[in-house]
Amino acid sequence: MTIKEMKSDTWFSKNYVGVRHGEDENVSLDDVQAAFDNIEDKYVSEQVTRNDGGPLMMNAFEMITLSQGLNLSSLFDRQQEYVKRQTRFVSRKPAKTIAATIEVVADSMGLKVHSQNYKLRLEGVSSNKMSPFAVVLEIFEVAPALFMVDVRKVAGDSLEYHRFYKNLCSKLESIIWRPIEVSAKSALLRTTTC
Amino acid sequence: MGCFHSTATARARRRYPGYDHPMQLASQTAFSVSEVEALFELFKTISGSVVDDGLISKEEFQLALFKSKMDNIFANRIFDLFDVKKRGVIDFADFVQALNVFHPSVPMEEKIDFSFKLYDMDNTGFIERKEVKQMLIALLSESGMRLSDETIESILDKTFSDADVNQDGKIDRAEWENFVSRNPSLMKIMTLPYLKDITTTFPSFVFNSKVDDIVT
Repeated sequence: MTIKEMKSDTWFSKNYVGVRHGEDENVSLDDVQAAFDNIEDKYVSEQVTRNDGGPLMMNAFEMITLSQGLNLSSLFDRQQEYVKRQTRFVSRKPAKTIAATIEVVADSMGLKVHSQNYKLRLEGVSSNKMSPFAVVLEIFEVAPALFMVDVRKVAGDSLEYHRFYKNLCSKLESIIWRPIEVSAKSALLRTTTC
Repeated sequence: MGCFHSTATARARRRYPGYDHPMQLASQTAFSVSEVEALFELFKTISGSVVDDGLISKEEFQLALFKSKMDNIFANRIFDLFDVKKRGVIDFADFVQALNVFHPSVPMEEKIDFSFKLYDMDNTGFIERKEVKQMLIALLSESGMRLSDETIESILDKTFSDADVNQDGKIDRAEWENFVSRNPSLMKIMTLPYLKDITTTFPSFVFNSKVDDIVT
């Protein structure tokens, strides 16, 4: 019996709903938005103070709160390996240049870019094409003409994220500012950080 | 209020010194009884990771936070604040009372209090410039970022001109509260939304709920 014959049999057509091809899932934009928003933001109403339309200014305490030692949510993490969350780098380029460079690089990496007020969301799929992969980059001004780009994963596998981050940094060489003195220790640091 | 000194509690106290019955801890905090029980599951895991003595040591706390032993001045400071009895270890009651401050429904005043003590590293009642410098340098080092002393000083200058209203070189409790109200993102670290889902992340088994232990 051929497939065609099977399909035309009354037994088969009882309660059968054919597979519809070419119909994409309706993904609510709110869900996508929610997935990328920092959950902690919901508990703190942020007063956004902009510096003449430039990136947010970050004071010493805001920088300090980035420490992994102050992020107690990892107490509830059931995974057992050390996840390096210290992904950020410094740049002396103008903020607009930093944002533009990131967009171009992200595009070349095949990622979709959503950009708003020096906050960029890069979206793609994992290397095995099975799950979404997304990161958020935020540009902050920490001192006159000195910017810090904070990079964090919002969707996808940690290992994949770290591979991505290394790749991203190598492509962003032109805008990353590195300390001039190179000691053996800092050279080692540089292979593991950006 | 009923007496919670049941035999089960006494037994738990032998294995977990400083243990308090979940109903007792729930009545003193924003947590429900089942949330306290879930916290106990987490506590058991953390406190048993190096030495199974029912207490969390500094090393076990670091392991829980970083999944590896790491000397971090912020984690160490948080540990010291959790360790109210100053014994170098955190017991279950300490753990629950301390995490309570991070609960989403606890008043902001308590969170501001905790954060002030957190940054007042030498307990002088003031957050001094040198303390902020030390913390900033620690953060930069942790991030693999290196800035010149000049740049660090200019970051501190800007922060202190903003926060240190009476310009005495240090931030007092009132100035901190004022500064936080103008920079609410600073309080993000003081709320753990995960605490509201704790019963699903760390399910405790029904037979742990010894309802029949309550002696009224």
